[in-house]
Amino acid sequence: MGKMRNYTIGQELPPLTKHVSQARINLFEQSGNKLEPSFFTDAETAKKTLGLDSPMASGRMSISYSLEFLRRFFGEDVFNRSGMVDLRNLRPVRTGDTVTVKGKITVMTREANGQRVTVEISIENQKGETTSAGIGAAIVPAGFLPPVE
Amino acid sequence: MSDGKRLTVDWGKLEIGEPFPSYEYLLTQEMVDKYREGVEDPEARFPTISVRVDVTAFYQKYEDVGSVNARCAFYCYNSPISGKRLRVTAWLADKYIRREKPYLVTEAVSVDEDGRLIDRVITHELKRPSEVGKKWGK
Repeated sequence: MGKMRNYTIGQELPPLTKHVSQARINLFEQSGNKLEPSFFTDAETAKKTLGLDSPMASGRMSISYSLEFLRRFFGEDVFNRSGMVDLRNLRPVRTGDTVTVKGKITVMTREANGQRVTVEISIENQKGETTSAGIGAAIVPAGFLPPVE
Repeated sequence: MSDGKRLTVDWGKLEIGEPFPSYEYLLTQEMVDKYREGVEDPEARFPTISVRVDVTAFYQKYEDVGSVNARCAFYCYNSPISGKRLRVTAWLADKYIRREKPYLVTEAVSVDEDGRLIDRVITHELKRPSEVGKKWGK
């Protein structure tokens, strides 16, 4: 039996902060077997393809940070089986940026296999600019929730 | 489909729902380790996000100027296990023009060699990467 949970609309999640170094970006790309120079790893390619003077991080790194952010909150027994993230990438995350994932619960709905808890997510850089925004959610089994009266 | 036979994207001929080539890859422990180090999360369970399976499948069929990720959704079902082969099934989920810019939506599901559903990914790709520099400058 997993740990009991309790959720409320408006509940804020503990923020998660990451420093995005070029070394971390390179590892992320290598982990996906993307070994050729790209606008994520190579300044010349970033300039030629994007018109930026330095590489940017993949939007999938922001997805990864959000997966961690939500997994820490919901617990891996729930999130790794029913979690999701849906993010719009609003501005590039650049090498050297520090980003913080924030969120709060906005919706809770009954599902056939539990209660869907939806979190509004935003990711901000060190200047306070929003780099990504969207939602995440997990379906929490009723057995992990307080009894309904 | 070999690299030499890739098709040039013809926007009008792209069909919503059209499949991309299915393929398999081996998820190695090295991939898992590099992913966890890259995102600074030693407990991360879905390194499959960095493989870009949907976009990879698209580029097995087509060639074009490239793209940038405008929106991405990722669904977790079962944590993948290193040492297992993953089979990717991908297709074109949608296409649209917004503010005179073309977007393709690719979607893929990954299933491991034991038949476990691993994840699903949906990506909206802006097919004009130079727009990034135009909007955000240097």
